Amino acid sequence: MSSASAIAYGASTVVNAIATGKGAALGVDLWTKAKVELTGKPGIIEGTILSDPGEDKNLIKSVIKRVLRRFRLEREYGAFVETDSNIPIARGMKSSSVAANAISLAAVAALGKKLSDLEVVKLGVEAAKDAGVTITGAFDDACASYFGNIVVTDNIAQKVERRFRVNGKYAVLFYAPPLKAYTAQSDVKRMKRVAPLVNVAYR
Amino acid sequence: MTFNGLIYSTALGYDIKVAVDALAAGAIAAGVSGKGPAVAAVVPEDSIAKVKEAWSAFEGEVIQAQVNREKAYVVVTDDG
Repeated sequence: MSSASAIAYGASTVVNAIATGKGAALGVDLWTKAKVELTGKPGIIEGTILSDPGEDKNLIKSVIKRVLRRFRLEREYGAFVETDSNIPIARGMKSSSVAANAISLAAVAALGKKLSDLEVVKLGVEAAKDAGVTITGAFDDACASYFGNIVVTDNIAQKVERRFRVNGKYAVLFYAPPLKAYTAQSDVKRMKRVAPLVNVAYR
Repeated sequence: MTFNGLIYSTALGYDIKVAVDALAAGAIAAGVSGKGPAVAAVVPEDSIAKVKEAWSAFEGEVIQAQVNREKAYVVVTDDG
């Protein structure tokens, strides 16, 4: 059976879209690599997260399901997926968006199919919602991960509003405290209350 | 990025000191990434050491990356 590997890069928030639906994000050169091997066992999707073996594999399953369904091949194939990454999980460092991109891109390639970049991104975004690892789908983060540089997006319409090239040599430093905060559990109501201020940041 | 970080940090109850210390050490923007708790800072090359030193006061990990300009890509396919 055929297989393919893909790499997607990391991202960081510039303006968080959770309050208003519009956001901006910046690509960073942290990475996730995904290898997708198709199997002849439809309905069976298995995976290993090499960098964090204890982590939940729901995202892997939902991305593969979305991609197979896109081509109506869910009754033909199952898959075995291996991911490896240098991005810590559950710190706000976009590990889910990046993994969804890498798995989506590798799965499309393993099937020998071609899709536009945005279609690959959107399959990953929908899958991340299916898996419950994101509240909004984080289209802004997914685009910054997939395309690099700075992207400004409307996450509700899933539309890229603007892209900016970053010139000059800048490092992006992350401070990651020991605690993990899973996005899907965070308090959306509290964050939506600050929407008027976030609109100012977005402008 | 900085203003966004201040708003969300306040709403979520995070300490803004991590971001403010990075700005004081030369970062051009800094703030909580996503819903946190990680804080990201965009730092000119010549201020990297100073920001790292400022953050050494906090318990946890500092991860250094660069701005990425490359698209995601397929590495290898095998029709086996």
